[in-house]
Amino acid sequence: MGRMMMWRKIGKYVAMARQAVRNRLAYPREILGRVMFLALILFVYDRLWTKVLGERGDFAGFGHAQLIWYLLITEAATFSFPRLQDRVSTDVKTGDIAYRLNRPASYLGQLLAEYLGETLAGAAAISVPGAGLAFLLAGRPPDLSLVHLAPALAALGLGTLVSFGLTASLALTAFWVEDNAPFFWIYSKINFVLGGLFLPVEVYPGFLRTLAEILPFRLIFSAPARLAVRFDPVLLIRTLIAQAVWAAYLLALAWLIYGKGVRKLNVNGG
Amino acid sequence: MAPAITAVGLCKTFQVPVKEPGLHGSIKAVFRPSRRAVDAVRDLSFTVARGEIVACIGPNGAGKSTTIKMLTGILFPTAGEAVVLGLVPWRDRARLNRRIATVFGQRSQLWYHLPPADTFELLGRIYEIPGPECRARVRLLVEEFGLGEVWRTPVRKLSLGQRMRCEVAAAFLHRPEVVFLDEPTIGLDVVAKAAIREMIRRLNREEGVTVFLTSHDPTDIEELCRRVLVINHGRLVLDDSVAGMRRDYLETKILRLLLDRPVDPPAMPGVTVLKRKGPGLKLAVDTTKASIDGVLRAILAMGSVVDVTVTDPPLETIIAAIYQSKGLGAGEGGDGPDDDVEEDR
Amino acid sequence: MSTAVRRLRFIAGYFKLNLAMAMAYRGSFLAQVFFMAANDALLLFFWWVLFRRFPAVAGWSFRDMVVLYAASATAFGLGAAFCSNFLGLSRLVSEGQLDYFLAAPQDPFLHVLVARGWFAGWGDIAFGVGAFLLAGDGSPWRLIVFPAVVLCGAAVLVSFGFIYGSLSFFWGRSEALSGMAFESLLIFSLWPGEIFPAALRLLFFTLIPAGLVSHLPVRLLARFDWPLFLALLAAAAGAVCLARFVFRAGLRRYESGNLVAMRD
Repeated sequence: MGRMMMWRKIGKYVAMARQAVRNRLAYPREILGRVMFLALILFVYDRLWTKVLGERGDFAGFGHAQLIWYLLITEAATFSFPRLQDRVSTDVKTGDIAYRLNRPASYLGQLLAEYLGETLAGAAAISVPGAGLAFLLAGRPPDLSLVHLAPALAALGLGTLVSFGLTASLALTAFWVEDNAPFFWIYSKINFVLGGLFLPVEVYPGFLRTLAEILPFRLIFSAPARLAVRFDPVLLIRTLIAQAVWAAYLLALAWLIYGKGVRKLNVNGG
Repeated sequence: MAPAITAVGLCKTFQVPVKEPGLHGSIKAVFRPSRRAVDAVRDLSFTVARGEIVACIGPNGAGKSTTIKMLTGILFPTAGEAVVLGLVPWRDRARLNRRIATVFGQRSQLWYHLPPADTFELLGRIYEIPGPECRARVRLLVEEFGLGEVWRTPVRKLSLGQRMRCEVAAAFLHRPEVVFLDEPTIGLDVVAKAAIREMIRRLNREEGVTVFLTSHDPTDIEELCRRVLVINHGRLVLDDSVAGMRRDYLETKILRLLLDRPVDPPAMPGVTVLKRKGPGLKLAVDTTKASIDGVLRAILAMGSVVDVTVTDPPLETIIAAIYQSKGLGAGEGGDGPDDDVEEDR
Repeated sequence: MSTAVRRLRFIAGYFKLNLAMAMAYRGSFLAQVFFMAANDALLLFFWWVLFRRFPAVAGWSFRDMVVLYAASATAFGLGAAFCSNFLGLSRLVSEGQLDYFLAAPQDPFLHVLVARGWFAGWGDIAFGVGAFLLAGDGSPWRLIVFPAVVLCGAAVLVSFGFIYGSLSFFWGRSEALSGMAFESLLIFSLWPGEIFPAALRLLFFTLIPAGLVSHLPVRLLARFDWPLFLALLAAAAGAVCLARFVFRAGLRRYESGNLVAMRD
């Protein structure tokens, strides 16, 4: 009987994820717009790296093709992650968050299911044309093979969990701060720099590199992308461990914040 | 004196894009959309004399806003002519705009986050009124219309009624000779509506401004205007004095009552039962033959009244009645009346 | 009062009101300015990392990049702070919001141009001016050239914002395309022209005039040249005239009412 209940619950979340996928794909024009923007960015960076690196040059061991494919993956990831903050803010404001689902696992589980669904949908929609573009511009990166692809995807999956943990924790501050948009602005800028949007963090100079390696931001898309374009088994293991640890920590953090927030809501009224 | 507004045979046909169904239709719609002609205004002719207050009423989609847009030069007509203050609106728009004003009930020209005073100052510069003259004019308007307390409060903190009063005052800042008001009392409570009407009346009396207003509210017409134009489906259905219209169509009031028990109302002259459901009653009262007071007394004698509402019949009913009286078939005219009227003749 | 004075009073009127808004919402204003300036500064981060490894990119140094960013940001900031309608013209058109401007007794093009300001534009100006002063060699001549070329850049940017936005007059579903065109103009104005093939560089002086917005200004700041400057000035003036022409042509279509299903 217990196992039936569990499967049914999982089934519920799968259904939510599937709905999220449908939502994401409902606006083909939006996806087209993003693909065009991605094409523009890839093109510009392609021109840059061609000029700077020439035929065979490299930037701290990363060649032209690798840098372009790196950029594709990080940009695709950035486009794919949905905005949790709007959804959570509304839920907090209307009080739905406490009354509709009164167990943390349920609400966070629902959020996670939707997050994963939307990310998957967005990623799938944008990676196919994006990969085509990257291939046209830069050819295949030297390290890309099916053997390497699987672990890279695993890293991307864990990276998504890290992203969820961070984003959800930030979004749940809506319990205390009505307009938490500035937090997200800061978060996106941090991701831009310390998250390694345009360059793998290992090419950063000195203290910045150290800082970036301590913090979890690079684990979201930078580290997986790096592994995908330039595979390294030792780095893979270290990355996966770091991601697992941070994901667990951040999910627990989100859970804690949610609990505190709901209690506050119940004490103060809706 | 030459009339303020003259319209002769005004027509406006819109070419509305139509999307054909299916994927092929979607693709076609992007590159060469097919279009459907929509006649918004058909052969409209009327004159408005200087200093008149004229109402233009009609249901949604009748063509009122389109007419105003043509008379103010924002749209040009498909056919026909119009002359406002001796100028052709769509050709001499810049010159005309200095002498007219338009107020849209649903769109504000006041800056939302600032006090009306600031917008007034901006308007003075837009209409190129010299500083001292503008300031004097603003003082006058604020005093005349009791805007003292609201004038320096940010618009977002004002009630809809206060906002509309400032909106109307702003329109008169540059002493326009003709003012077009598109639904000026929409969404306002009874007190606010009365205030706006009083403002318009005074400015018309004291400055001789010609007023052309559109409305959904028959009371606007009764209180403000001497003349009314009824438009439906783009055509002019009635051009009459308000007195005439009142005599013919506006004396009926709808009385809705909720009693404490089902009641069978007595037959009274001028009273028609429109609906009866349990303790609820809906009556049409012809106020030339019966008084609301009298009807209520009769009902009260039979039971206690829990709730009562007195309203005008919906505009559509009035228009339908106009159509009926003019012998125009239902197919030609507006939406049919939304109540079945059982006539006791 | 002559026409010119009256017109200036009219423009000043909008400036006063935008200023009043900033004063009324000081916190929001300062926050937007700060965030925008910080945003722009962060964009330079990539170049900082790159230039630590490579001494020059297509003949450009890090300092040159900073000047490029300064010019581009200041041009955009000036446009956004004073004429922000150039950013949302498509929407104004498709939502029928031009009625108000048509009903007013001022030239609609000028009116739409000056009617709105965006707080965040001041952030771009703050960043741009700051970056320029930091990267500069302090020569007083550059302090005169910078505002001059940046104003030309702003004129081109605003004009092309209007031109792209005016597509909505003629083609209903063009909002995405106009957005894309403008986005690429902004992006190309932040990249040195030399990394692109020659054919594309032609584009930068015609359909997507990033060259006029920032590349040429940077060139003039490095090595001033009167004929080139006058050419930029002429191009900027030409852009404004073109924008006015296209906008007015679009207005005639707007006045036919056939753009949107304009019902009662």
